[in-house]
Amino acid sequence: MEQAKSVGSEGIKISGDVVFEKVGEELILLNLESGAYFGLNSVGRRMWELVLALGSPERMVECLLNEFDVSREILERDLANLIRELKEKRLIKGE
Amino acid sequence: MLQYSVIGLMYTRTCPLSCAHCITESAPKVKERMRLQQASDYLRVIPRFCSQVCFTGGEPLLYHREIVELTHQAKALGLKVSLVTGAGWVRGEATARSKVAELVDAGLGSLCISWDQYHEEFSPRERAVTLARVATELGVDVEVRTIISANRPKDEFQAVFKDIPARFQAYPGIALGRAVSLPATHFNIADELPTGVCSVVLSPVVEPDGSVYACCGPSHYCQRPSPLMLGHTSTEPFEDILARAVKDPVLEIILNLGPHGLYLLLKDHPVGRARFRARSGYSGMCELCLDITNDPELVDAVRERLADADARRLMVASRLWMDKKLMPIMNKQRFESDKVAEEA
Repeated sequence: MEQAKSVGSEGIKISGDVVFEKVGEELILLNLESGAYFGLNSVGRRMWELVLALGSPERMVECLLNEFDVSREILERDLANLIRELKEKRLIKGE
Repeated sequence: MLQYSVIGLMYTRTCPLSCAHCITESAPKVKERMRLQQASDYLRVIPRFCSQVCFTGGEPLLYHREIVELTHQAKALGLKVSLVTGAGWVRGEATARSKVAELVDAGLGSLCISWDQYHEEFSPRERAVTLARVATELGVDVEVRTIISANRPKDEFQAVFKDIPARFQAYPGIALGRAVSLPATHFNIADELPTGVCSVVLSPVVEPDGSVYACCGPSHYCQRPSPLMLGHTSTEPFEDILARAVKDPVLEIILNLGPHGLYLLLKDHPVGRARFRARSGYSGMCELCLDITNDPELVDAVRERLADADARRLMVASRLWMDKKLMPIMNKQRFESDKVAEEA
């Protein structure tokens, strides 16, 4: 299993060519440039909404800790994993 | 959900020509024909599903008077009206002008002239050229649709219409209908599974006998049951047939991913792996589409896959791809093509 990096303080933004649509509880993301797509469950969807609203992983962690019954350590790990995966698919980018 | 771009009424399968590539196998001796009242009934349903009707055939203008009447009705219903013709009926400029003028007065907006080397065996090119010129002079949006044999250059045919402000669209032939008898050299045969999206499922067609098909031409060769056979108006209201079809996810996959999308879903399904056998060569994606949709077990396997989360994601992503990426490109190409025609 790949070791997760900790959440950094860099700002993140949604890539310009990304569109997304909510389907039931899921959010489907698509990079129109590459054709890569990705499905987010309800928690991932909330993280995505916070990417849109806040852009800062640190602020996202604070916000999510208030919403979910989860330890900071697990949340930071899950968020870092998600950010890495979304970056790999060029769905988000760091500033 | 599908949003139809145009609904076709195949008013007749009779045609004065018997072109060797004709996908609907129309000919002078084929006598199937829609009744005027039947067509009127269909017209009243169409505005609930799209804004355009296309009269096609065969040669719809063998029944010019009825098509004029139906064009009036369609216009009154707020529909845009287009028509596909092989120009085999044209006999001199004055008559052509008079007939097109009547159609324009009734509300005809666009005309598709089907013309190529196969038409020319039965009808001189002057008929198509005269019709294109007369129609554009009368303000009709004209497209010349040509099937290019793999062994002939496209420019040779485009040059015939070079002084006329009509769009020229060239397509490769498909080995379906009467075209199966053509030599293999007429087709671009690829040994790989054909890819590409298929917007033709946004143009369903009603045939004279009341059969409703998902597209105009290729789906005529589907075997029942098939998702390409949408229904029959003798057993079910036209409106119910269309209302069901626009919600069929199999057709949505064909639109957004092409028949190759069906294959993508099947290759990870045991029934797909067991039953699907690729051909050694394909003249086009229609063959792949029919090979899959004509097998009810494969269609059941596709529908089963569509219920799983991975396939649903693929379906949504492909729809976003079509709506946000391909459609804007296609609309832009269409706009540029219109501009070139206007400048010509």
